[in-house]
Amino acid sequence: MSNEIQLTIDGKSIVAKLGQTIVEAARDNNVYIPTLCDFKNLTPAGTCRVCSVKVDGRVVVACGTRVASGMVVENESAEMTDTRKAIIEMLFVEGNHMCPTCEKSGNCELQAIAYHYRITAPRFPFLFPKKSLESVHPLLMLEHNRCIQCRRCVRGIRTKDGKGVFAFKNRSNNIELIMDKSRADDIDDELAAAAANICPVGAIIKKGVGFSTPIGERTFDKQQIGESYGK
Amino acid sequence: MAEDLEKTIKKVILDTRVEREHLLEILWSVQRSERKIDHNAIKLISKLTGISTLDIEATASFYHFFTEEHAGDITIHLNDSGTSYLAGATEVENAFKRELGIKFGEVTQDQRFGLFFTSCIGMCDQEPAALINDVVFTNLTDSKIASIISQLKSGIAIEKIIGEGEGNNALELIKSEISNNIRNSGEVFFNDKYVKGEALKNALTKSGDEIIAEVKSSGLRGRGGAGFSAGLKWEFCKKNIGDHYVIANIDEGEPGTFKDRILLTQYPQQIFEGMTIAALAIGAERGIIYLRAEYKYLKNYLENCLEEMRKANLLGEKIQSSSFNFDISIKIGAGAYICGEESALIESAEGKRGEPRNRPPFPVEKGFLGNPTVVNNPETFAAVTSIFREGADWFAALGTKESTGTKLFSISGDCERPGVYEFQFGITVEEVLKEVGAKNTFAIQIGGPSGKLISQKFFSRKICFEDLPTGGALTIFDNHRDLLKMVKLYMDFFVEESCGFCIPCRAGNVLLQKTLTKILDKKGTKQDIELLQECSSVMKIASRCGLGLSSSNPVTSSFENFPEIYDNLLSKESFVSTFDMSQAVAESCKYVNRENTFNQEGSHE
Amino acid sequence: MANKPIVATASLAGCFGCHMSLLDIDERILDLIQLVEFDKSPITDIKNFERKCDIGIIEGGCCNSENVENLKLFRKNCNILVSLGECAIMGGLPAMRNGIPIQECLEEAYLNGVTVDVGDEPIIPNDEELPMILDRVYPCHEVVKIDYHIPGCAPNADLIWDFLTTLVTGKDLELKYETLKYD
Repeated sequence: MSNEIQLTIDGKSIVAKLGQTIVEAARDNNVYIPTLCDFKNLTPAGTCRVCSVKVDGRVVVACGTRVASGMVVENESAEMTDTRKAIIEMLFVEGNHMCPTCEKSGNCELQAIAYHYRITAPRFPFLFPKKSLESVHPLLMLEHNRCIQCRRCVRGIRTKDGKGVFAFKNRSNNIELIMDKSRADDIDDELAAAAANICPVGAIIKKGVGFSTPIGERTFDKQQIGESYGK
Repeated sequence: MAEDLEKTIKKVILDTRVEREHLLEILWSVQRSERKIDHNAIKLISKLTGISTLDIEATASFYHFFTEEHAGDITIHLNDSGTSYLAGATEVENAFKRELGIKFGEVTQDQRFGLFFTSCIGMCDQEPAALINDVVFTNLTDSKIASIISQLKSGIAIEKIIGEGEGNNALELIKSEISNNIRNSGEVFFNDKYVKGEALKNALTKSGDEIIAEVKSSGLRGRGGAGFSAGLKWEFCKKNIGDHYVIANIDEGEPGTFKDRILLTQYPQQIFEGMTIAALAIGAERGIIYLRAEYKYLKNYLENCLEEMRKANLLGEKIQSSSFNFDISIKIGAGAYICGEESALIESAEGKRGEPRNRPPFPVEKGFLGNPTVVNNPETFAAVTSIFREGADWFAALGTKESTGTKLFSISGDCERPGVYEFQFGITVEEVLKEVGAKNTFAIQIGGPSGKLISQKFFSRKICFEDLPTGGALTIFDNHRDLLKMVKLYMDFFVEESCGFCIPCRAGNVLLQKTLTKILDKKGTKQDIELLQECSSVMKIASRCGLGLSSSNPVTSSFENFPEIYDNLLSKESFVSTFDMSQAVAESCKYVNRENTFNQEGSHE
Repeated sequence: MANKPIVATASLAGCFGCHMSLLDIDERILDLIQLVEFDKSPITDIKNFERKCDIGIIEGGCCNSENVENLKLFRKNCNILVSLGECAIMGGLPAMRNGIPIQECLEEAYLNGVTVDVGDEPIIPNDEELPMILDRVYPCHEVVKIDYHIPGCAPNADLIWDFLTTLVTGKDLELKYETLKYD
């Protein structure tokens, strides 16, 4: 098989297909590399940096880097693990993430990665930015307090005629998710659900369906992100 | 009103034909005529161009000079960078507030004046400086501001208020009160050896590969700061298939840097000719000058220079009767430091938000509109012109082995002769300090905020890529300056200028800024130092582009070289509360009409 | 007896849920009593510190001046101070009012809210004895030094048990996936 190559992740030799990203190859080989902004079939963005790995001594994002033969990937070294933890903690303090009040709690990928790393409290001071909850559509709310600016919605949610619905305005720490209100008619129930679903946190909320799964039954109640529960 | 606006927009669309790439130009036309870009304007632009309102809002809001609210008929942008503060910006700030009766970030009730801060405008050797509409005002003082504002209030045109500039600044096409402050002469730039077209004519006798080989053998490295081999960059670019582009990166936004402005004012032909040689080498037909909005006052002059070069058949069709076609157009930014990063610059040149791209692919593979693109600093292009005039060997003999040629230095801060100098690479810091008349120098910010804050132990080091690399900006501090305050100002700058795309940079700069403020307030502890270090480390490891990778440098280098500026302010306690009871209850006391008897600690006075 | 660590607890701007969760360790409370002694706490109903304590456990953040005074008192009297639960760690549910002007908060609570009894003459309570509401809800670690954070709303009883027993015995705490939750 000419399109199969070998590389190592944390010393473990794995086989990958040429053209795959490091994240994809790792997944196929049951190696967990945490990701937030990466999403199936979307062009990698590299906003969250959580999948940062060291390749031949250089730090790259695993979601946006293709495998190469003989590549040596450092995934769970003390340095990379602490960097990822710090990144997750930065995401927590730059927003207002009140898990107890959040519809996405238990299904939230940010929270799940924080659990994975056993974070009890962020090392950084909370910034408590003033952000709002915005009703943007009969079916959708944007909870800006929780947005981690991963841009999965920007890349993944399109109307039937292929037009984007979400974007970001402003810059730096004032950056904010916006929705094209002029295309409200193009957002049906299915697209609204897809938008809420593609959001890794509880920033895009579909109205009328919060807290539908009881505590204990939610995705990450039952299994730890990236691995089977109890394994 | 709406009809006028429609006409304004349509004129730009007609002028520029291709809409998307020229969105910034369209937005500028609206901002200039309406003094704002509100939702109605966005809807109109969308209707006329077919670009979605979502996209236009996302783009316009990225740039500092585009405003959603009315910015005043006369918009004042005072530079609030570190050098401006050194030169007394606080006094100037107060003078503006007093004369206009408004705070920064506000517009007068009659909407005549808007008062704002802006990041470094490239006038560090003549601060404090401000932009009033597109016009630059330098060496501001309390009384100068009083006079400017009173004249503006009485209706005198902005252009009539300015003083006389030096060198080409006095030309009718520029007409600015700016000084060049060229302080010495040099082998490559600051001399009168340039003869228009000579270098290009020489290059036209060579093939693309020969040109690249010559640039490589000259040892020329990019002058923006990173120092990548110019010849190698061109070679990579040439190899890739597509419509090749040459871009001059004139988004000179690094606080403390202003040497490109001088090149543009006095020697623009050398930049253009170097670009043309690059185009000849890689096979490009189109070149772009990406000019930062702060230098818009040079646009007409530069357009005229380009026109003269076209007339001399040094640009345009069939250059010097060869089969080579190449022309250069100017694109204006809209206030975003990040656009100095080459992939962000390309995004911006395409009329989008100036967010850096993921790399690879690099611009030499997929750059402007997805085509192979060379982006170089204007100083690099101007150096190319001298190489094809005097020869690669001549150039390689200047400077050091790994850093050939001369370098332009932007010198500001505490010295007798701030301005621009040309030195050969390999000059020591000490020698520079002597040349510029710096006394009692305690520290130097070398390479701007994204560079390093160096101490006296570095002064014997050589400035070159093999020792102390820099893009050429030296901001000098003598021993009476509060260095930690400077560090904090640099972090304020990065908080303002981060694009916000990736988390380490978006939150990291804010966390550093907040922690520095705490330390400056004498509430810092050892834990805060650890926090600064951990935060910087994450930014240096995981940020997406050069901004985030280097923006913690003011903190890390000052901590490394001047630990005492932190130690002196740290509390001996293991914890100092930032909580202020008196402040925390002020609002509720006021509302229920109770006397606020709490002190800061929470006991009653 | 004299060697047993002494524990004090308090509920500031919280709902007592964290204290309930502490009681949720069920019969292990008998084991806990063997390990520690309680001083000032809603559990013992001891109102004032009777001696210097080893461990202080704080539920809730600071939403008014009394919370701050109480928290400072705990810091003064306890060698180790623990933030227990989301409210103590980052403000929690009470912090949802952060960003809303005090006037609006008070008027909603006492004058215009749907639960205000229209039969009475609604007033905003304002007595010298009442503490002042703060401009926002503060996490405990912004006011005093906090040594440990135990997350959860409320923290899982097993997590509290694991934490307290390891703290008392000096072992390292192993955080189990099942017990670590933020909700």
